[in-house]
Amino acid sequence: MFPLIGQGHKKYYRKRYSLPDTYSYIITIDMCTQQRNPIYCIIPPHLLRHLAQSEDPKLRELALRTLSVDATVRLARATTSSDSVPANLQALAAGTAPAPKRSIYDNQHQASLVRNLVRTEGQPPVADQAVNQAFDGLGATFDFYWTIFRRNSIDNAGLPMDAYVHFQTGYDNAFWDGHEMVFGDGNGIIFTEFTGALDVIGHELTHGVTGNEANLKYLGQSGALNESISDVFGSMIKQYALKQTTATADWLIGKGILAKDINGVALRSMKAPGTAYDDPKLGGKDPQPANMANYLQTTQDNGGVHINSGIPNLAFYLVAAALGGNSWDEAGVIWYDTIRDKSLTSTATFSDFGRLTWKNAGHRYGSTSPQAQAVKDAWNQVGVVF
Amino acid sequence: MTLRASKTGGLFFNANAEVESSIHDVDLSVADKATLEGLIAASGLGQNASIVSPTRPGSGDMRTYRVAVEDGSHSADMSFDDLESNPAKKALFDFVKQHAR
Ligand SMILES: [Zn+2]
Repeated sequence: MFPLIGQGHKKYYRKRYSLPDTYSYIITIDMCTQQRNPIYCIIPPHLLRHLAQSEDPKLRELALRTLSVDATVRLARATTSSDSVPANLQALAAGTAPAPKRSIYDNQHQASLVRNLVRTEGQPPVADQAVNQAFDGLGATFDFYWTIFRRNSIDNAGLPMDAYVHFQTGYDNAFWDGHEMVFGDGNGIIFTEFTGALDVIGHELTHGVTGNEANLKYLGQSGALNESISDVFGSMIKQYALKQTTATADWLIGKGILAKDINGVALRSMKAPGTAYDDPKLGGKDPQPANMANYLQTTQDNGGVHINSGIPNLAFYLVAAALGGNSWDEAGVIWYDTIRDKSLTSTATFSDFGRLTWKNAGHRYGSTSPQAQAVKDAWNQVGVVF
Repeated sequence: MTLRASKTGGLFFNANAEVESSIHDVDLSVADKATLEGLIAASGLGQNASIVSPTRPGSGDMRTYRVAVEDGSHSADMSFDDLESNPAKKALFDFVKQHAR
């Protein structure tokens, strides 16, 4: 079914990792996404993506494995000085998917982190809803990254995922501290439990992914990109879990965690930035701009990282909407390629990021492809030129 | 003596939450003034010249709190985040917020 070509690469990877033939040739095929050499490009990635959703489990698995090697090859290159076999390659070689390593801690409303472990792998649900929501949310996030991108956890090397619930009393926030996720219960006036929204859990975990890949500085435009990437992947994680297409998804971030008296539907709207709420308890109307013409220069919010993220959020939505299907089919792949692109600097601007998404769309699908054109059009539409 | 308190950051931008609050010690009751002095001493405000880095590397959505004091020609300030290990810093921040007019 998949033609065998590129023997040189096959030999290289077989020697290096002693993989069975099956996996060696899959690696060889996928070199097309890395090298753009037509001799390696027998099956275009977009076709592989369709095959990955085939009813035939054998076909589906083969296509998924092939697509996954984009990430795996990069990892292999990064570890060429080591004899250790990356966890992804071990999993592929063994024909098994890696399992998440989740630990949920009840912080008992303390202000500093308390390692009071209440649920880990293999244990049944507990009476505490927040614990189970965090556990399931981390699982859904892990599944998404593995199934769609063959990414093995936050660091792509099986990093354990730790989350703390019931942080402080009435704490109106959730965050990623660089190592673990922390969730407040909300004070019931503005917010309810932050574990109640899968996209929020995906958002926080994606901060870890971004930190491991692009490490975008949390200030100004690079900070807004960092925030937007968390919203983009958080939303895709929710859409994937709910089996929503780009057309049926709500594109809202944090729907369901606003208290019932708040006049609003969510924290942010990716599809229509600036329309998520209008309530004096939240400081008035949703301030997110939808276009660079309305980019907000401010010293608040680390230079408006949660405000100006509306612009790249809308760009992603526009790409996904133009391409149709599921957001992770093509738009998500382009964004994932971009955050893993070594050209993406920690101080990237919207223009830098937009240019790289266009470049990566071209690498994946061709520089004159509808995908590359959709990316270019989307950034133009939100006023980002490159 | 004037104290100012502000915070920034979080998963979501709330303009209300980022408004700076201030208090003047002359406006406080004797008991509150004594409490304030105790909190200032416990927090270390004014004892360290440097400001703590407001954003942890690789983090996202953490809040940063800032308390500043001015007393005649002297001034000092401090910043800390949600996982600050000295609870007196947050207690001083909360005191200023609660007593601000
Ligand atoms: Zn965030």
